[in-house]
Amino acid sequence: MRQLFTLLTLCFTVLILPLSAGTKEEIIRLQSDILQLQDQIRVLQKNVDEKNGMIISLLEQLNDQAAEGNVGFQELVTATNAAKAQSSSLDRTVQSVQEELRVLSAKLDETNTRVAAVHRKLEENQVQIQSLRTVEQSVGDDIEPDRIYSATFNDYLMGNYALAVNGFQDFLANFPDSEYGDNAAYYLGDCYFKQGRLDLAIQAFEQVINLYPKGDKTAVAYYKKAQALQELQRLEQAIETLKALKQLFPNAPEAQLANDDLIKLGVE
Amino acid sequence: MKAKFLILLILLGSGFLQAQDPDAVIFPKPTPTRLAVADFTPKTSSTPDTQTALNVFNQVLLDDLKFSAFFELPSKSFYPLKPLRTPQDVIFENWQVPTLDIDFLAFGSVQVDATVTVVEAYVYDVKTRQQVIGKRYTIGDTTLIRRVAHEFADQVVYELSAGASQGVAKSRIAFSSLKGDSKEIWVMDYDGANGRQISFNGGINKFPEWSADNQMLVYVAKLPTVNRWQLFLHEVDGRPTEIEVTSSYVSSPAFARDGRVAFSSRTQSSREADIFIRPAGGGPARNITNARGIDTSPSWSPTGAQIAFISDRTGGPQVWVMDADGSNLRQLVTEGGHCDSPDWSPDGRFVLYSWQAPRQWKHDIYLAEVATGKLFQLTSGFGTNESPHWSPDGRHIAFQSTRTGTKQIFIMNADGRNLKQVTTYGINESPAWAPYVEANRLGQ
Amino acid sequence: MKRSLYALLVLLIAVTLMIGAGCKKKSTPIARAPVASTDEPSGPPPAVASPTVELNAAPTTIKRGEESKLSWKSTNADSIVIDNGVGNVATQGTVTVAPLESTTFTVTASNSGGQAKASARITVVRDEGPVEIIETDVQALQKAIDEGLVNPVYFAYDSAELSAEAKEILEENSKWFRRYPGARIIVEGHCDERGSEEYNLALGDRRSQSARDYLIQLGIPGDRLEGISYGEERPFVQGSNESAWSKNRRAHFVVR
Repeated sequence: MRQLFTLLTLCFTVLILPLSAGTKEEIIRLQSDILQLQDQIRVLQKNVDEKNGMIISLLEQLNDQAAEGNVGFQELVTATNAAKAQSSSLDRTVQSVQEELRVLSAKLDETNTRVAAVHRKLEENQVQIQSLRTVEQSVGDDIEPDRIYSATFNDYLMGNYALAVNGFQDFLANFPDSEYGDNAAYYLGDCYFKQGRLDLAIQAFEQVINLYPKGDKTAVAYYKKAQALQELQRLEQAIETLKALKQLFPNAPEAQLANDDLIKLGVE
Repeated sequence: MKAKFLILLILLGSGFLQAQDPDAVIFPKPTPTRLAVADFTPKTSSTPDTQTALNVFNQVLLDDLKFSAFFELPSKSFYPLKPLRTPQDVIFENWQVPTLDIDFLAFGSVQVDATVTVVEAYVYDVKTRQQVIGKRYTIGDTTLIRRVAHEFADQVVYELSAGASQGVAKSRIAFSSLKGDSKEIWVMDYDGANGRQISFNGGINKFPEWSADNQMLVYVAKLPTVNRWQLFLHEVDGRPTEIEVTSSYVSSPAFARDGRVAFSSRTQSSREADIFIRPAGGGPARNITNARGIDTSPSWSPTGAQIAFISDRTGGPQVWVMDADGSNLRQLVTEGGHCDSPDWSPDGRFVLYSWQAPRQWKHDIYLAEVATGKLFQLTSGFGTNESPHWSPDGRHIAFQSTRTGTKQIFIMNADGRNLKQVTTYGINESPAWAPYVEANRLGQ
Repeated sequence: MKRSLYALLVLLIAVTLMIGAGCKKKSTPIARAPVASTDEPSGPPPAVASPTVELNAAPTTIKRGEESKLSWKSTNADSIVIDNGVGNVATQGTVTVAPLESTTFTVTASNSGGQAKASARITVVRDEGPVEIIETDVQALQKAIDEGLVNPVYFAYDSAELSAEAKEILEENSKWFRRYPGARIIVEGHCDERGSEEYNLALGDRRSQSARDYLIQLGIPGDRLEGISYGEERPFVQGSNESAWSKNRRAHFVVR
């Protein structure tokens, strides 16, 4: 009987733990959010058939995610059963379940972001198809990018770079002109940098420099690009970048850092 | 019309902080878990020793669970009268009355014998009548009874919050305390009990912070016979070691999770405070802010990749954020007035700080969301409220306040509710709530 | 509704930012040597743009026998002259000088359109080696302090800038410090209770530095002056009003 209860508790835990850092209340809220979003998707799917293939492929991705989630859930149930068998090491198993839950919750987070993105795209299309009257309503709808950016940025802050890369990419694809556009582009580069994917990082920083030449992340994009180039031993290019930084942003704190680097590289 | 309204708002708003209600963001509030905590009873015989231990245990357990902010605790006056000792004593029907309407019931027994004290503690799900927790704690000495209550409270929080928090009942707070002539570093339980003096140099000791393993404190001190501020590392159970700095000024040190120490100091020739970082293994510290103005009060992001700090480079002291190499600098709070004591939340999302509005002299506690710079006010009204510090689970905040007269340490929920004063004697300031020890950190 | 609220919030923040940016206090850097000024040409506007010139000395305080470097930059100047024996120089450059006494160097840039001047002061302190503590000096200076002959200097809120009055007090104090060269002095920086703990510890340090720097400029050897901040730890006067606060924002002097 007690074992059954433990199983129930664990299943319960599995269900409500998708956000390891969140409170129970937040989780419940999140669940209702997900349910709402799923409802919306169901309605919108009717329109999807008539619409373009891009959306279908996005939805397929979504299904894949959900399937992955289900697999993860099955694994967890199995793990839970195994744990039940050895009640002496129950604590340790709970911890490993927790870890798997983190992975699962990460996937769910990702799914949520994608659901939001899909949702947004569908809405955009509908607005186009309907009439120009609705254009007014879509103006100023920037609460949502705000929330998505904020959640993704938190993944970045907590060192969940893989997750943050997905988030920033989605964000840039959907809201390139939001006030956080240059930030997202820069932090995407920094995620790659912290993951050691230096070529991608350089590309991303160049994008910041080219797309947002007057943004507040431009100087630091130069600096981080030079850092990545130094890691790759492409010193000539690094020096060039550092010099450009010094020249274009002489008053940025990164100019001082560039100076230190140039001295280290034996240039000045 | 709308334009006029806008202008009016701007005029009103420009002098004040555009703070939002923290509830909606930090603590969305669906139904909380309802928990009854029946008084623990003597297991066999009610000796005076057992009764004394029981009184302490029951009070501490109730206080811990109340403060945890996870539960609604119905008044004890609605409880059935029959004392509970073992699960066999529970008549569930009596606990399922509408006046109580509880989800869970905690109860148990304490027995103090000549050589050993035994606490048996249970939590039952009242609806399914299943046991959720059953624990037996054996201690040699009743002085540890508070510890057992804390241990059990954390267990209850952990189980009934489905792992959302490990609880803070076992956690400790370091602080700076003026008793008599000297201001020394002390450590106490989070609820103010078991205060213990750490430094004994007779000087002014300030700004303690914990290492990630809870074994070490870092703080600054002005010793009576030494005419400069010194930076000390201090094993909680050992002796202090000085870390050399380059001037007579050093302040507000902070440990990164990996052992790096950030602090505010200056070089002999520079005139103003900068942020320095000492490498984890020791060695010379590196100056990472070279700008004009005072830079102080560094606080690390959870991963140690970023630092929030205070700088007055553009006028008054404001909250700034940068990468730990000094790049990617940006101002997080741009409200004017004076900000200080930033503390980065364990979940990375917020920076807590104190703010003094322009032309005011009292400070209050605020939160800034790092991604967006959104601000939330947590305290208001009474006294000056400063030096905020997160609890390890990020659900509570410790700070110093003069609301009852002298500077004392208070704790509260991260939404500003559930305020509790935890020091009374002397002048007490700069609380530093110990982080969860890495090895025990779940899912890390 | 939510959207417009949000738009309002963004606008508010933006406006606050702009207001904030417009209101930034101009904090004057401490102990900056160069003072640049352009003489306004009188009469009709000149055909040629007036010259400008800047002069810097590094370091600004040297011991007797040491060198300091003067560097200058000018625009539109036909001729540049530096006084105190340096003479005619190029439109920009550096020169090394080793004055034996504290000296103000002035550079004059001129062309047909007018004249511009800038100056920099190099303070020369006598190198007396490590301070030799003389017990009678220590006692005499202590007595001077006890009798109120050596006074603290007071500062404005959130400022480490020396007022004209503060400079006068320091000049007066420096006479006593010079009279008893065998005493070492601690320059304590203090704050009122209003700022926060951490910031005040740094601000007290800035105040102590600021008073100490001025005393060095007045010729008191830096070796005799030790700076230390007490932040808000040691108020002169208890109380939460301006009369108490103004007495607590100070640098004061203690015989070591």
